[in-house]
Amino acid sequence: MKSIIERYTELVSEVKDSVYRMALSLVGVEAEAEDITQDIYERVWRARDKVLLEEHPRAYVCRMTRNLAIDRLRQRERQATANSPDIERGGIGDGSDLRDIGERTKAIIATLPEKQRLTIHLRDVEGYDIEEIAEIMEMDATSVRMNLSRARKSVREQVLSMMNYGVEQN
Amino acid sequence: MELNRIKILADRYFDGITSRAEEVELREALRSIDNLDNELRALKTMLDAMDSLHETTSPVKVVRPTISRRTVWLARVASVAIAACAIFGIFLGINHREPSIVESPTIICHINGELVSDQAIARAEMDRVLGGVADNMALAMAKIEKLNLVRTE
Repeated sequence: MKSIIERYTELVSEVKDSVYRMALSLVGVEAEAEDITQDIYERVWRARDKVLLEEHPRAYVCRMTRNLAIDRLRQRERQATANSPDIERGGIGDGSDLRDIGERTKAIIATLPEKQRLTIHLRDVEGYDIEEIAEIMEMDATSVRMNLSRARKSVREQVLSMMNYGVEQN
Repeated sequence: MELNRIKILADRYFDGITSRAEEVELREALRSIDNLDNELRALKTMLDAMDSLHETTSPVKVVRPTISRRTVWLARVASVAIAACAIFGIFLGINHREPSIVESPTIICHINGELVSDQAIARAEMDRVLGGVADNMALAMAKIEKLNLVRTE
């Protein structure tokens, strides 16, 4: 039988990239996503007795990540409002730092509303099932599909718009 | 794959109702066709961007946790303390348990208000009392016989 340390290490190794990408998708800043990932490792270890007994520990860790990333985002938004109005998420902008249409597409995804962004990320980037996403996002499967559909259509419209304005694809 | 099938899958994809297998099929189909219309090209761009995002890996390394020496030491001390308490409890239990009924001295009788547990003393006392009763009975019988004689005369 595996020790608790082995089971913890296996779980965290399995979800580490997913946790980082999810955090990055939500907060949009690499350093902060790294910080959240590290924080999640520690939180999972502290709550190991509960997490490792979960039916879907991977989904549980993703839910922890989502909640933590949203907390950090809210905290940052409050600080930004209080201190400096210049801090904002990466958008399409003037495209000067975006290498190609693929990069622009990532930027479009980053500007989606929070629920849509997370839904499309979990489904199309991470490959989670709708039921798992519903568990992570604490909503029902129909709402997940609705958010997913809206997110995909929104990205498509913006990509089409970009293509129609003659942005070259490398 | 037929273009018609791709368009059906694309519509389902944008409605959020495709299965994982259909999405894999759609990705492969879009990669295999060169001349895509604008809508399908936009979809291919989207899916390529998603795949590219999936290649991002976490720079944060997983460190195998270790339990600190202090924790191990505390766990050992706690184990020894629990074992000591258990042994002490058993010791106390054995030495302070209620004496059983079998082992308690059996009270046989009272003599002049005092408890007597010695069988020999009790038997001697019983002999003495019964002897006294027998003497009294003999005296009583003798008196009755004497009275009977007086009446017949």
